[in-house]
Amino acid sequence: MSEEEFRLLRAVIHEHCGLWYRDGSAYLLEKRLQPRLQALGLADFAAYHRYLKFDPGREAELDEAADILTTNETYFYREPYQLRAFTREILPALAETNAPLRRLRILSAGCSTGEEVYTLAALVKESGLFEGWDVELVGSDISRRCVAQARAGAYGEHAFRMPDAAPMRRWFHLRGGKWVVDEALRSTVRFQRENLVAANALSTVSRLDVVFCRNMMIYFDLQARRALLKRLHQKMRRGAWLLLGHSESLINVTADFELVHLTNDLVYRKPAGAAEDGT
Amino acid sequence: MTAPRDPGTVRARVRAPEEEIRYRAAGELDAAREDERELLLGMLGDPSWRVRSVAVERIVTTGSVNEVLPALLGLLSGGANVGMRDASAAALARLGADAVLPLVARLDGPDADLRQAAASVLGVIGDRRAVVPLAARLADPDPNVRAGAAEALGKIGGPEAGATLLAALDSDEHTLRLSALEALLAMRVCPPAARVRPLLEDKALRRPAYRVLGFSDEPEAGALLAGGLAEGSRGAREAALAGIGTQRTRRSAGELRHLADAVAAAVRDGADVRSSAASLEADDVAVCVGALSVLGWGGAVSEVGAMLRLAEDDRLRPFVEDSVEALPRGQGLRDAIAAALEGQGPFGRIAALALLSRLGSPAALEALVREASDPSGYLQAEAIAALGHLGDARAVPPLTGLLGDDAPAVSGIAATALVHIGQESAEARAAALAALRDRFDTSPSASLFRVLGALGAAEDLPRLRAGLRRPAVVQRMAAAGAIASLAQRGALAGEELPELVAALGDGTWSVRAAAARALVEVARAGVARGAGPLPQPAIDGLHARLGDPEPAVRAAAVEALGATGEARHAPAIAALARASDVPPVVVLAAVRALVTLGHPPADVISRAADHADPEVVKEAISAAAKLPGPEGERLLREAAGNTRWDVRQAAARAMVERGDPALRATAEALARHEVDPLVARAFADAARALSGR
Repeated sequence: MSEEEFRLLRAVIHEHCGLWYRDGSAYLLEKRLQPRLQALGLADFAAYHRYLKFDPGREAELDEAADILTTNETYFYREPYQLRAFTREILPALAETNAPLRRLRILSAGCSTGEEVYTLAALVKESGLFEGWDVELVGSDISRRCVAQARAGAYGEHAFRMPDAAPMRRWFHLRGGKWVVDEALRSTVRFQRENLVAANALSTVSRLDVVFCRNMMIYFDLQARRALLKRLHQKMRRGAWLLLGHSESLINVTADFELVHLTNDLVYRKPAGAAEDGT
Repeated sequence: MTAPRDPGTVRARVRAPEEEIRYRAAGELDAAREDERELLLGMLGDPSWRVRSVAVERIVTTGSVNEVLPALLGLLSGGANVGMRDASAAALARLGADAVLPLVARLDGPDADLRQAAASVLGVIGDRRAVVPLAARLADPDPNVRAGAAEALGKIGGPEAGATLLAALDSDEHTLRLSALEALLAMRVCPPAARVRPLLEDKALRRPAYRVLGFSDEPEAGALLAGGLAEGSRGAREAALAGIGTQRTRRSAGELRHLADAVAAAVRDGADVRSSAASLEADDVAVCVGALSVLGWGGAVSEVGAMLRLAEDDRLRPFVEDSVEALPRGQGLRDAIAAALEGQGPFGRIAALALLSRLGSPAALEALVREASDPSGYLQAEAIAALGHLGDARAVPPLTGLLGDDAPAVSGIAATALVHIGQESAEARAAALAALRDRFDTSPSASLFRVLGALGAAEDLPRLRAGLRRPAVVQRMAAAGAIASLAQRGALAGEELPELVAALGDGTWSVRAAAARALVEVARAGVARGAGPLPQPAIDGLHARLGDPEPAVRAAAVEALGATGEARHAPAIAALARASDVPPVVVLAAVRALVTLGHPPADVISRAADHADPEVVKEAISAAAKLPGPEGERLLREAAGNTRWDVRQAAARAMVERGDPALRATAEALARHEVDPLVARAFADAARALSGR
């Protein structure tokens, strides 16, 4: 992929879904999109760019490209220190504040193949704080392929590679060489495919208490990050928690969230005095 | 301006002890109102970053530049309140071009802190008017101002800033040399290797010097980087690895040959590859890529397991595959991979199996075939591609079986893999063709047609012609595509293709478009053979398609008529391009076809050069290179000033194509002033080509 082809393609992709490839990352785009050239029988990336610009099938292909570019392999119990903060501090706080409604809503934004959502669902269940509550965990991702795989809830051994993930196995059954999620856990989660940068994103999600948005914004430019955070802010309750990846922060992105120092982690929170609709 | 608010209430909220109240109050204030502007400016010193941030936002979005600029400049010195200084700097940066000249004036002030802050904001704004005044600050009496000016120049970039920073590398002052080098690194500009060499002697400059060598295109840079592998300190060694990694991500395999040879020689001379293996765990991707490269080029067979483990990282996977491929083949490598297989993640396992298969392991090939046939695994595509890269005829049967897969991604990749294998050797091609022909009667999938087109011969034409009559749309499209491939490969000799002409009238637009595109290749093949134009029924069919409701069909028909090389079709094509509301894809094809037919009408090219779609504009600029007289030159000069980088780059290419030496001076001037490095390079190349060098 020439630098010219790289720049033209990244602009088209950015316009479609907000993903932004920095200078010097042409090889990443090339590696991911090469199979699309093969599937479409196109000679080179210039032809692919032209296809994305002019072919009547361009919309479907843009979805396909976004699908491929956002498919990231992940695993259970990722970033354990943050999950410990979630279990030890955030969940007990929510058990108290939400007790009158007995309702809990958690979103995993950019959930990929679902490992994070199932991890969170297991932690909520194992906390024992929400028995009989109306609990729902939603996983959202732009990739159709990822969402399909998350719904299937079948994983290989490698998904359990973190030592802290060992207890997760109790929620899975080994069938045909795959670890398949137990119905008790599956029934508390749902997955939806959507472009979180789009104006109508999360329209089917009710007010959220916790949002996990880890290692997703790193793929976006500033404008797309702001759009995403604004949308999340609107969908969150006052006092709701926002957890980012360990290398991410909101500095110079938005001041809509306050920084909260937990015992072992820094997280963000929608201020208790903020307007519910995010204004 | 908003309706008046009660000043007492507003002031109380701005001074409230609760952060959230102040935050929301700031969000409601209007900097166009004098009293509220004062409050907002005061809030730039609020202890909460959230409040300061929203105050900045309100000041720049609701205030007028004339009213807020003087106050912000006044706050930039900040006094003891660092938060206020940073917030006013952020606001000034947001004001952008309007703040440039007042900030430039501050560069000459008596307060060194203010000079440094002004330089820093100018760097963020990135306006090239600040380059000369910042260059002057490289001689500032205060070292922090000098460093700040160098950093700002690095952020602004461009040829003038680069030249200034290069000159600063010769400074007697150590801190300035370091700042200039780091600024050049930020610009991704490497000084000549001969000038970097002495910097490597300086302990403090060594790390940025190695890193900046990653952006050098000189062979000598490779030797310097390889020399860095013997550095005693881990920091310097990893900087050299980062430079090697940067080279690896920027350059093609051919261009990397010098570097690979230098690394291999350094390892032979005793550079310790184990230290590179330790750097595989680094957080910096460039260091990891460098370490992988060194281990591969250095033949570190024993580290293959550690190398393969990095395949789980998407950013590193391509380099893992290339690096393990570079390891010396033999029993030692085979044993090392086999020993490492157990601890691999899924992607590392696929790479390991592929390598073992290539080393002749039947068990590994079988395992790879199993992965390639597992529809539930997300590694299926990866495994199929790996089978293709093996180039081994043993992979033909399983891959042929996948050509009928319902998922186009699977069958498409399997088709490409088979084409790879078939192109490896005559034996492999024969094996692939035998399997394809055998399978044709039972399951002639679209992907099978594709492979047949890519590997087949004239004897396959009856199969493809029959494919054009099949009920499935995708198969008819694929059959047309396969005929195009045969024509492109010179496998046709003027055979009659009535089914292809009939397909121009197919009820499905995608088949009509595919048929027209196939006729492009058939026409080109005919011209190349010196045979006559397309048969009249095909020409009639293509003319009929110029009125097709689907733009893609019209565009393909235009292109096919152009490919005949017969000037008699030009009027119809030009008329199509001149019509109103023509979709961009049709105009683009028309311009291209008219160029192929010779003497494109100037009015069509000029109109296309003004088109709203940049792809059409670029095609028109390419065509303008061939326009005789001043009109062509005018279009090129105009395009060279276009706001889009890709149009300017197309103008640079068109200048070369035009070959008019009178454009050399223009290209040189454009290369000097161009902000975009890619385009600057294109204009410099154009200037060189036009000067005959």
